[in-house]
Amino acid sequence: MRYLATMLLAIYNINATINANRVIFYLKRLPLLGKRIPDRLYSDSELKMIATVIVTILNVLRKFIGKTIYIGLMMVLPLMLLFKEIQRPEYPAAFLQLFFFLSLIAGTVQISALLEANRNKYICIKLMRFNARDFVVPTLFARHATNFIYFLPSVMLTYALLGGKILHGLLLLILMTAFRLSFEAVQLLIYDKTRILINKRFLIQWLVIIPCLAAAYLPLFYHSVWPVGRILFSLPMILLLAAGAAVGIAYILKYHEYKRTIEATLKLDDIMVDFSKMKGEAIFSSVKMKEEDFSEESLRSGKFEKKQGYEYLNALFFERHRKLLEKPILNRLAIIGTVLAVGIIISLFFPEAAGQLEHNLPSILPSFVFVMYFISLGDRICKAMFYNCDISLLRYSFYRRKDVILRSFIVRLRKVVVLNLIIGIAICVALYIFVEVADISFRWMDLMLFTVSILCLSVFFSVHHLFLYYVYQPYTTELGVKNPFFKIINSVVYLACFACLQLRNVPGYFTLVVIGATVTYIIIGLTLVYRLAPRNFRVK
Amino acid sequence: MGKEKLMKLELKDIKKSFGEKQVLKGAGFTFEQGKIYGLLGRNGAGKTTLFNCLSGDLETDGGEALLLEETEGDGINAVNRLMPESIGYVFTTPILPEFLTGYEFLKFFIDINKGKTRIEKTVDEYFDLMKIEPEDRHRLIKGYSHGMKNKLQMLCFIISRPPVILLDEPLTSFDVIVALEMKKLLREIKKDHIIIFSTHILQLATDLCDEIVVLSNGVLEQVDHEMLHSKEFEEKVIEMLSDGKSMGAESGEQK
Repeated sequence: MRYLATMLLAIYNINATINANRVIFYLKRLPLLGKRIPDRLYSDSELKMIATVIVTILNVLRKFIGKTIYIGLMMVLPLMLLFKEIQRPEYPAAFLQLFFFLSLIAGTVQISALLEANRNKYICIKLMRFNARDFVVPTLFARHATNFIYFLPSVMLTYALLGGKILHGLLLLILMTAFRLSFEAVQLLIYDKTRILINKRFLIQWLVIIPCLAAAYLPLFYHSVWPVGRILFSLPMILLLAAGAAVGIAYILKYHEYKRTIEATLKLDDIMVDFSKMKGEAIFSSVKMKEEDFSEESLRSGKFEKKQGYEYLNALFFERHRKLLEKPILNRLAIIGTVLAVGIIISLFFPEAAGQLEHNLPSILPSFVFVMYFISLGDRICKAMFYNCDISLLRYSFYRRKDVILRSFIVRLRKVVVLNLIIGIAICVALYIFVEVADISFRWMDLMLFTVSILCLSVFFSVHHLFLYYVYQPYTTELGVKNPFFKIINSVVYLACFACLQLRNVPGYFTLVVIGATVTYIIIGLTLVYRLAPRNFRVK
Repeated sequence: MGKEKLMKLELKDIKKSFGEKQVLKGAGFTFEQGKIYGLLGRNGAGKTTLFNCLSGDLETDGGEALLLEETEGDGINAVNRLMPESIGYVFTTPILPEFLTGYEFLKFFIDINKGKTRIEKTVDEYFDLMKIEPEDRHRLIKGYSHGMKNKLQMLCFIISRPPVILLDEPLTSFDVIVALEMKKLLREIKKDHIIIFSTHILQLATDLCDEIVVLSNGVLEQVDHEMLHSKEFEEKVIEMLSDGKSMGAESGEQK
């Protein structure tokens, strides 16, 4: 017992230090405040102790609240709101049914404290060379014991409030913990014999979870409740689960191959442990180039041999990223085509719906502002520019020269504008076709202004993304966004577009406002690029 | 013409701190054209920081770097601040645009340097010079080895011929043969440049460099030229490096 406590304390200390260091690390990154936090905070053990205690308390609170929310959302709310046919006397039985299938069965298959890989385990066993058994066995017991405690108030209280016996609530949790301990042993046994990790096999898990969800909720739809309590709380069942737990614990304590087993399971997850890296990889993969995508001939072709310098560079950039640019364009054209087809079908069957547009073209423009926000390209292209090209070339002084930055900005802007105009034009053409087929009458002037504003919006969003990229260069080398101005401007533009969506009575001059606002933004954006980009366009 | 011109790079009191840690504490030194300087320092002494300050990648907290031009007999006749354009910088970890092939990058680099310097060779001739095989020239840089990328970076300054060349521990990634070739090449071009070569490998420094400068405790200090090939040289350098022991021990590599 003392050994258990010593081990747990040691593990807790490491964990707490890591957490406190992380808190300091993130505090230091806060704007304004961050600069005032000195490095020596890392070594100030007293302050760190306070941080550790706060983090621990918050964590414990979070666990209690989390369990309560889980019980509330998954069990109590459905009972109260969805299944009104279930009568009050049936509440305890219904709750037992939900808890049995959702937590006792489905929850258990998702947990393997012994075999799952996590950051702490990785740090302690792989990096700090803890004895594997000394780490996993105590943490296993701690995990299930704390889980029991975190569940205790919400389950007992809920069960009592629903009209059940409060001690049955306690018994339910004891049985769950017993079952979970025996299942830990089963998973260890399975892994030892077959090298299959149940908590990594999503197919196996869903094969359990889906029937469990069905068994938990479906009967309630038909106003019936399983007699879970009668079986679960019967003496044979209690004895069976207790025996299972005893055998399981014995197996876990006797097992001697922890070192090999745990090392093997951790290896599988090496990458998963480094969460920031994993996140970075996920973002990168959307803009990454693959070598095998390019044939030797295409790399040798000398297609742009006649172009010079930066023209040559940018031509090659767009050539190598064609896939990245063409696919979204084609996707968007397909969406526009589909929407048009659906619109035409609707107008054929429900002509009165389409008729609402009669003489009222400007009324749909606000929604199109929002549509253009989502359908325009830019963010991903900027990320690709940064990650695949600028991040390396910006290390060279020649690439940071004012004229070079501005020249490549213009080349890129032209390209992005063309891509977005393709989408804008497609939207306009789709609208003309729709108006023609649905036989809607409209004012020519409205249609003209509508076209102009859609095209303005296409240019606007192209400028918007490139302007933010060049002036605020928001990406870090991990492609995360860290510039607050970038986020603010982006949010303002989003809110403006979203507000347009909410407009009910569209004033007649709205089209002119859109055109005016976009043109103004474009002019301001370009001016700022010319003035600020040469200084700001850097790898940060 | 007639009179020999000589360039000098003068560093005055360069300072740079990261947070509370002062990495460069007023480093000053004058480097001359025609010599290869070995910049010796322990891990984390600030070699890369110094280079980054000179190249404009980092802003210094104080001090200046000047490029002086001297004509034989006339003394100094031009003093300019060291501009990033005057520097060729070979990074420890080579950074190149990976979406280009080696050939395309070099063509691009030659294009943008046309008019600024005399381009003497074609793209392929430059590749021949660096002994990069024809079949590798049209592969994406993404697939290049570390050494190949470094060769490309070296080609950059061979083409653009900037007055000052900074090499941040480049030879460590080359195999024996390539390292020998590179040494030969550096010796060939040194008469036209100021070459500063950072390393923590003592043998490499004594073997290749004409002068040894030690960066320790945030300042630069030259090892007496006479000492360079004497028996006590190693001891002397160790002594200079350990002077900044407290510094070296407490500092990690700055990222």
